[in-house]
Amino acid sequence: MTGHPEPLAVDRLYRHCDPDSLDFETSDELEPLDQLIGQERALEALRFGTGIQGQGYNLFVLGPSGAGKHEIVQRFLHERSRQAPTPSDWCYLHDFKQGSHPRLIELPAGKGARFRRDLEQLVDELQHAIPATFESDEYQSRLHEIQQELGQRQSEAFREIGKEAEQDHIALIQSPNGFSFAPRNDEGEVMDVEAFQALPEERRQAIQRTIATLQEKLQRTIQQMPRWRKEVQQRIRELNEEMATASVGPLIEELRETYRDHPRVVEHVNAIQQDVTESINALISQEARSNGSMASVFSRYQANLLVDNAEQEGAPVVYEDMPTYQHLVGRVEHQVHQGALLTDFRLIRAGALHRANGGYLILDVAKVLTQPFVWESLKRALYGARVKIESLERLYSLASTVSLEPEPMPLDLKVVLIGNRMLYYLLCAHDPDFLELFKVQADLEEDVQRDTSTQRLYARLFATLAREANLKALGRDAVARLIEHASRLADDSERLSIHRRAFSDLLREADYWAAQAGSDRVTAEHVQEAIDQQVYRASRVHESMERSILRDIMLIDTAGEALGQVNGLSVIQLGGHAFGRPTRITATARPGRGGLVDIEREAKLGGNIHSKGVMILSRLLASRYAGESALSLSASLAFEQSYGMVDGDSASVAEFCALLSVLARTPLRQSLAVTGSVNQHGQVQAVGGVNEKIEGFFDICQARGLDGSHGVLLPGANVVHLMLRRDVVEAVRAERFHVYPIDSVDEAIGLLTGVAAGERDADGCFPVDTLNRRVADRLREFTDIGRQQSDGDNRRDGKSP
Amino acid sequence: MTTRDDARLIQRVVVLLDGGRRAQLLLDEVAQLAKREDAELVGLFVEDTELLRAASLPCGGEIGLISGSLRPVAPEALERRLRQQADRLQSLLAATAGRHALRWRLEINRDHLEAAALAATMADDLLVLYRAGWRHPPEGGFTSRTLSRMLGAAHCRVMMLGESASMGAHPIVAFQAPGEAGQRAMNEALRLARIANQELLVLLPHSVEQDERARAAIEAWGARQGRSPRCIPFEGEDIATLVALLRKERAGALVLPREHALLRGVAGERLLEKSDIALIVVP
Repeated sequence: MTGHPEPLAVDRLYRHCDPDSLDFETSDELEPLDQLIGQERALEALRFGTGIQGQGYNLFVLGPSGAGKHEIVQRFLHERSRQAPTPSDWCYLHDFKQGSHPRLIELPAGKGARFRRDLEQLVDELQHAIPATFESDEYQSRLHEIQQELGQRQSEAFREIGKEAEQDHIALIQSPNGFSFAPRNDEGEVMDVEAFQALPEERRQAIQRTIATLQEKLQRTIQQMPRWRKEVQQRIRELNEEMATASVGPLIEELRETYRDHPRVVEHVNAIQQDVTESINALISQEARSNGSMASVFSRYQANLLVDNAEQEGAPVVYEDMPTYQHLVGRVEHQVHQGALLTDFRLIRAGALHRANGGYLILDVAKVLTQPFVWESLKRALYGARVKIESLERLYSLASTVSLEPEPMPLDLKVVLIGNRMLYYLLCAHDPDFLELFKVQADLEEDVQRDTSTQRLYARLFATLAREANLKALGRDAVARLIEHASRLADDSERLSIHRRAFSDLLREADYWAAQAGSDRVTAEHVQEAIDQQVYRASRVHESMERSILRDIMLIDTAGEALGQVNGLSVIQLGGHAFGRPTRITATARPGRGGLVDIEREAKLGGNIHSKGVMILSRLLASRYAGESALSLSASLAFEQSYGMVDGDSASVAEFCALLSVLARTPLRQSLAVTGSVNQHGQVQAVGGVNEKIEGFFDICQARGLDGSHGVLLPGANVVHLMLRRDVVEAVRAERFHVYPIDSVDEAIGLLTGVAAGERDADGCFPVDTLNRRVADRLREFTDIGRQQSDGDNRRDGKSP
Repeated sequence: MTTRDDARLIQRVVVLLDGGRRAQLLLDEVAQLAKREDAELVGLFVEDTELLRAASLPCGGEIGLISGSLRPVAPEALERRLRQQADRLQSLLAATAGRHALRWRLEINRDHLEAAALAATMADDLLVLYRAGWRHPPEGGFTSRTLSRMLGAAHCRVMMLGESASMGAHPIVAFQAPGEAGQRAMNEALRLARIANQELLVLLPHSVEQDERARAAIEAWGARQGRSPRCIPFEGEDIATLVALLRKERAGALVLPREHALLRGVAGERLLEKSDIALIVVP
């Protein structure tokens, strides 16, 4: 015969941390903690992931929010990066062959800035040297000579023709439009028409022939002039190029010498020299000087230092907190000039991938996935091992305007994604590229074993956090309370949570309450005040629900007995605050073939796990009590006054007890509440949130008045998870409240009914007056009733029984 | 060495206009000059009788300055063209004078070009001429031969604008020459330097340069007019050397007496062709 389980002793409800076990007075005496507690697996993964070479060996650091993933990763990578070589500088330069395809040049760290300065200096010198050269006496004289040579050549040609004409008494007359020939009279004036007509025919014809000859000569001369002018222009061009080479050559030569070990730089410098020579005519024109086009030409000779690692020691560790497409892969900016958007290679801006090249890039995976086009771009960059700056509108053909196509930068970096487990597993399941590119997972532990050594480390952790935040020193009682709270956060008296953010927040708030109290150190009371205040601030909904119960709006009995009615326990999680509350679970049963109806499921308010629990208890009922005969039962289970989704199987023990109560016609004690799931053999299994559930029921009972009959039944396997509130513990100590560990449904029903459950004897029968016997008898009655009904139906249908 | 106050010496600035584009470009420069001289701006447009007669002849025809093609020009067409050019010049002159708040006039004479130019000017006028440029022959201007003849015959000051057109903010250069004509040229240079507020450079022939007294005299003469002339030795009469020197000193104008050897015959034409600064000839 199963006996009633004994209530748990007080020391099983809460695992204290004795302040006297801590060998310091305040946290000031403690050494700072520079190690991670309990994260060996994750650290090993980080070491492996950052050490191994090969495509796709990028990292995904997964762990719960607030676990300090960023601090862990940043600290590790900064340490690691110090041993790595400093990566190169990268510059974008104008491409003189294809202006819209800026060239990318790699230089050793620190040389990029020097190269940029050298080019700026070159431009500065060119701006002075070119005008000085072309204003020099030498240039002006030579230019003038060439120009005058043409003028003289033209004048000579006209003069020769004019002289020849004069010899034949023919005048050469010039007008703005051209030249005319006309015969002169003896006075040297141009003949008028009458005088000409008066000349003998022979003479007139001779004059006309002479004029025709002169006209032909002049025509030939004039037609030669464009060629002469072209020759002069060519000579001027050659002169300009010669002067430009003389002016620019020494400056360029100096650069060539400085960067002789960098062929691409030398190539670019040569291109600058060639461009200066080719552009010199435009550069020295009056328009170029006045409208600033000279500055525009010179700007092409500058360098856009995209990545400057001059100050970098070791490999860069870049965290991009806003990984938009542009922030990740860079962008090409534009300037508005007279209403038009203009750009050039100087407006190319680096993205996080450029800055992190040669080192590590840390990204929050949630942000990467929520920013448009970022995930695809990141994968593309990692697959191609290069980053290409492209505007989205161009990438997706939304704009067809001519823009820059900068040369892509080759990539050699490790990307470290940080996110929660759900995102990791979703990506594994739904993105085939994911595991190709992020082969290393660094999975952070959520809690660690609680023992003397870890408690000591936690003390140092709290001391370090307080010191980093410039908070008051922690008394050892405060540290002890914090360690206990770390167990409560882990929902396990034998484990400690690693939730750094929760500790940091709690420490700061405890510091606040210590300051309010005028204390120069943080004590356990201040920590408790901080915890209580956190709970209070988050408890509006919790208290509202409690009020509903106490005002009998939500029907929960905490005294007396009731048939087919039990107090189940559930946990509600609202933001960062979780609380438990009792829920009335009821059962009905009658003969029939309907089986067990889960009303929550029928109403589509029950989740799959809850349905599974109900199915299990249905099978348990049948196998336990119906033996090999068919179960003739039409029963139902419901969560009363529950209007939202119900899921989980932690109410299955309670549901089973309610069902047995109604079948055995034996009432259940309402001063008790039950949590735990049941398997097909009637064993009670562990569930989650036991602390909140117990405290939830305790609050209601305490409000109505504890009389020693109240208590909670929980799976025995959950006892190690107990870290109950102090008032609950004190009530148990005063024997006004009890916590019963149960391992089977028989123990639960025994406690709830006060009637022994009973075990089958050698004949397979339950003893008389046991609860199980009552259930078995009742189900047999149901079977008989069912059989009789079936016989009656068959007779009406004319069938033999 | 004599001096006199001739700040208001020029009564009229007469510019010979040929209707080409270059006239339009130069007119503003000439208007500024007239403004500085507080003189009336007179545009002179000559309907060349030789051109009109040539057009009426059966063997007449015009060879295009750019195309080199021969095309007949009827007298009526030429008359029409001249009228259009005169109208254009009238508008242009009015607009330019308006901008500079000048008194102005356009004189249209039908005569032989040189004769008309000389007849239209008086002793206290400044006749402004301009040479055809080598870069832009279609823009108009007069040949160095025509200009040389006019420089020799004019009885007033003549300014010949070269390729660069503008005197701008550059020194005025004068030749130290003997005699009254030389002194008149020096005075004119000094006057121009004063009204344009520019430096005065005096080119000293080698023999004189050795004479420190000559240099001192020039400096004293300039000082009396509130200027500090700078003397530069200049050897010989080689035009290329002179042009190089003017270029080196960034000169804006060269003032010469009409009888100066550099202006005689073909040498004068060469000087006009080679120099691209303003050349001022004083009778």
